[in-house]
Amino acid sequence: MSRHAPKKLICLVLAIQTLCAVAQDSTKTNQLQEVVVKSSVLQTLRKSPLNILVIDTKAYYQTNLNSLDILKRSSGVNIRTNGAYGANAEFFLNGIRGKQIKFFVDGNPVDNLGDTQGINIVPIQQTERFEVYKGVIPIELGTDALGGAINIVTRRETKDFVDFSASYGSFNTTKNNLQFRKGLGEHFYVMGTASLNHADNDYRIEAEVPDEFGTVAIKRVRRFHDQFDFTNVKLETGLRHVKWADAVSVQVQYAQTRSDLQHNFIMRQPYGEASYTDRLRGITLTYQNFDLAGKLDINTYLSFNQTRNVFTDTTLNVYNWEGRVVDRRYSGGEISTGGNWLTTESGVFNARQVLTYRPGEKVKISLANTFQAFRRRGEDPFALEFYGADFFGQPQVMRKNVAGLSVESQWWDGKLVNLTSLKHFYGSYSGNKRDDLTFVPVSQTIDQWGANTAFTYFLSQNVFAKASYEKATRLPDETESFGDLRLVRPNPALLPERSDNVNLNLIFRNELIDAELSGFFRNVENIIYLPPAAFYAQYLNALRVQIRGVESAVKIHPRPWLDLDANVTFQDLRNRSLLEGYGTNSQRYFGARMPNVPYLFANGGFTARSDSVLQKSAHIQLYWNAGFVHDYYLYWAIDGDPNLKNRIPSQFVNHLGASIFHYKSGVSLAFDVNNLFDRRIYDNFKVQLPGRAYSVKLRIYQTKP
Amino acid sequence: MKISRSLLTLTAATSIFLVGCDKPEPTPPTKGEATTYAMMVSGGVFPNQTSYFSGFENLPTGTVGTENAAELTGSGIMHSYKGFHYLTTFGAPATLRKYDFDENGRPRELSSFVVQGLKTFGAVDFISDTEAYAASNGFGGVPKLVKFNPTTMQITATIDLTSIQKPGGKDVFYLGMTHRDDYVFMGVNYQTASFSNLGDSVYVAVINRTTNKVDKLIADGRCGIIWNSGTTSGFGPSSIVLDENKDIYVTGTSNQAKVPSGVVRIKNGQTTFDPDYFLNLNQAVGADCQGLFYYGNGRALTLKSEDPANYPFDDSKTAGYRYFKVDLYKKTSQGDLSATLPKVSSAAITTKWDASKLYLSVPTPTTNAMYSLDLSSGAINKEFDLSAGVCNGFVKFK
Repeated sequence: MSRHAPKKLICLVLAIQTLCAVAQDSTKTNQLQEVVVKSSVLQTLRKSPLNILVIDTKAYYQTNLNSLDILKRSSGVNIRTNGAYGANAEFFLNGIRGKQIKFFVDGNPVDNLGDTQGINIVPIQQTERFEVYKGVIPIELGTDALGGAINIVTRRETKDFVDFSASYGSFNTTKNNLQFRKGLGEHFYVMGTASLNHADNDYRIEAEVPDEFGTVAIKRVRRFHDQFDFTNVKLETGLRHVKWADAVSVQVQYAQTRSDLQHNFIMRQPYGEASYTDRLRGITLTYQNFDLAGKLDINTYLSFNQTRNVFTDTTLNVYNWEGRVVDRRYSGGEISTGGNWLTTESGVFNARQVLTYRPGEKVKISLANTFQAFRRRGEDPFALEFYGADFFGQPQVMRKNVAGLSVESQWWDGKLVNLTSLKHFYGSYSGNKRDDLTFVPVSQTIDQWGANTAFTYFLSQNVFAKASYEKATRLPDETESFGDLRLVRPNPALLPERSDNVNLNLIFRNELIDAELSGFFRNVENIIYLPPAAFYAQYLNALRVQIRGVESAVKIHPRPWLDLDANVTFQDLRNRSLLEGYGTNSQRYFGARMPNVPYLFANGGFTARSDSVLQKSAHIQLYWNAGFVHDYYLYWAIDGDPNLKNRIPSQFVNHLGASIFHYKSGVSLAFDVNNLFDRRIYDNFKVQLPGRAYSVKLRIYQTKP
Repeated sequence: MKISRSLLTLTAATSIFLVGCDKPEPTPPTKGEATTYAMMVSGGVFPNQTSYFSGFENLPTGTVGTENAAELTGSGIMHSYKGFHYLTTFGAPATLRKYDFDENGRPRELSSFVVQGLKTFGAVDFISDTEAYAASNGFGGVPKLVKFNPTTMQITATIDLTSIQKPGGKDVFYLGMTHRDDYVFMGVNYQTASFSNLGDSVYVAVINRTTNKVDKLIADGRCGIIWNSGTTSGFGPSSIVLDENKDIYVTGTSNQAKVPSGVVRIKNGQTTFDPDYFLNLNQAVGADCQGLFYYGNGRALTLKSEDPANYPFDDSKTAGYRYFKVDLYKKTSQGDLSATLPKVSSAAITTKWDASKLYLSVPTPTTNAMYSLDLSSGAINKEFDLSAGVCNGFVKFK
């Protein structure tokens, strides 16, 4: 069998599937409509063959919860942060992590757009829902994710409204968000969002403070250099429902973040002056036309963004955890050897086209193409002085294209739905490698095929099952391919990461209960990693991991005023690498559970509401959530005395909140307490997270029908 | 109001349940006497590797694991002095921790000191129960040598190393230490921004223990740079060793054809290099060498490179060295320690606690074992295997 045989086979399957589905379509349309009941977008997505978790965020507009709070309550999702508002967040999705998970806004990739587009800071009122894809990634999300993607669908109300909120909370956290839409005539509209958020993040921690003799005292101190600012303005204007388009819009955006950097990985070395700023300016054009000739949808998206980030690490001062300068370095910075005052400017062009053709009621053919061009260049006068060359002045260019063809078809009177896709990934990278103080151009081109198939089978009106498989690919990024021009050397021979992703879901829904039981399997190979090295390192492909897991989620609606929900996830990541050459007997760790990854976590909570307070003029709700993460080892379980091992302790974090919404005025007031019992909690080893935190939020929402 | 009561009850019940979940505090251990041997090994495969420290009542046999070990955070170095063990792991702030063992043989941290602004400790040299020196490795830290009391683990002074900084020396490493008379001798390695040798010389800082100041920096260009950080209380290859005559031998690496690897000497009572002494290791051994494991009467082992592409850097993927015997007094080599031994990486260590045997680790890419060298017969025997990883330190301390 030739190496192209699998692709040919998939193409053949796609073709046969299309023909068969179209053929049966003409005779059974009416029966189909009886089975597939028209439902909301959320339910449609839920019933799609993909393993997708849809989170409607509208219910959280009045609360002080942020996107991470909401996402980490979901089954199969774990998020680790190293601080409070604005802190970096690492996602785990069915065992897939970090760069293997891709993020989107309205279906468009936000890779390489910097911190301003981070899901950790997106105001919840500016979203409509989160779509969490586990396993199979649809071709419409043109990306090289390895088995996980999160799409933020922004708020798109079709009526005029103004939504303003202001909140204040512990650690001097202020969040001001404004959103509006105004229709001007039958077709024309303008809408905008603005955010002005700030946090001191000066929560108390217990830290080591050495005295002049080096003797350490554990003191309760405030974090002193952890401020975060987020500014965002987005304006959009467009037309809806004109002859030549259902929607066409142009959007401009300006966003900026500024972060102080407080400490190193394990929170032992404080920094007092290092900071990072990130700015984005962008323009986006979208064009959508549905039901052309009753059969064709066109969805086009073009964007160009400029980002500029500045990493400042120039001080010679040495700080202790009390915020005092205790010494002076001879050279360098707090973080890097030579110090940095690095300004990096990037241009990112994205183009996405999705064509959807419906030859009949039971079949849908989609063709999608996502292209991204990225160019980055930097400037660092500190590096120039220290090293005698400005390594960052060498441009890096990346072009990535992901094309996909999918066929969605319905069988057996709509009881069975299948989605089968073929994908092609292409990446082209060019940059420079450093040879002492000279730069040598290097380039790399990768192309790779992938495919997936997914099924939904409706066992009854209330019960359906899903099964899906994807051969997924993640291409190396520019740092992995070209290094950092300093201590990480290029490896143009790096292979893409690959994964076999299998998901099984059983879902039961009625008016009282919504329950789901899922199983997942991942076989990940060629994992790109940076091995330890005394001086120069190089990204390599060698690690293999097998992931198996189950997750279960249930929502119960026992009374009209009460919702209960709970979920639990168990994921077992096992090492399948046989690494030689690092002075270790790899066989010893073959099959061992991967350390430093949470393997058991759960969430539960309730929401109670009443629509009849204040003489039925207001709506009140009380909500509580508890999140649990089982403790886990930092290193391999097989090594060390269990009593003397490093572990990330169990978490049991409670969040309690209440809100009241006055119908007539559109005013709501919310009060939230996070970490209710003031537990000392950690996501990362020894990096303390905030204790009990209070926040109050005032929201004014006015709408015109 | 019915709703409110229900909610209140639910919240209260949950709160009571959650508040009751505290774990009991562990009981502090007491000191025991049975543990006789201490060992530090690395364990794990990337990206989760760290160091393990454990004790043994008897000389280990068979295959030694880490099941009784304390788990540290990151790669580390071990020093031992008068029955206590001093461990440091890579990463800021530089921290030196003092350990012994409890009655159950479990490692127990007794005390530590921390220096903000230093990124990690390398060489530690003990002079007495109240005087010791800890050198930090470079990476843009504060240029100072820490003087401390190993009994109290308190810093007693810091020696300013600003005077030995050199223009163009962007990364400065303080590698290897020994002491004699009123001086501490500390090797210094200067690297340019592109991580090449600033000069092909061995540099040694001569530090006055009374004034706590650098007296001078001496250099010898007959061999290359200081590369190894071992001390008499450590276990790895050393760049500076002190013999029974109180002569100090300093070894430097080669720099391709420019300068050979070799050994120079600072004679007893002197603080300058002896112009009449030079052991050209490239000539004597036949290839580039690094480090000395000194075991008495002028005898030492060195690591002979058989993989020029990995010299002096060693990624430990390709064990490229062989143990070779050298006689510092005769300035000759006695050849390969044993043809039966496999090639080792530069992570090799040796340890010696009596006059009869030298123990040496044999780290290869896939196996790790501890061997012994009978100093009278020259016989080599395998003592035990290590299941986890490279041995960074092994000592009989009672």
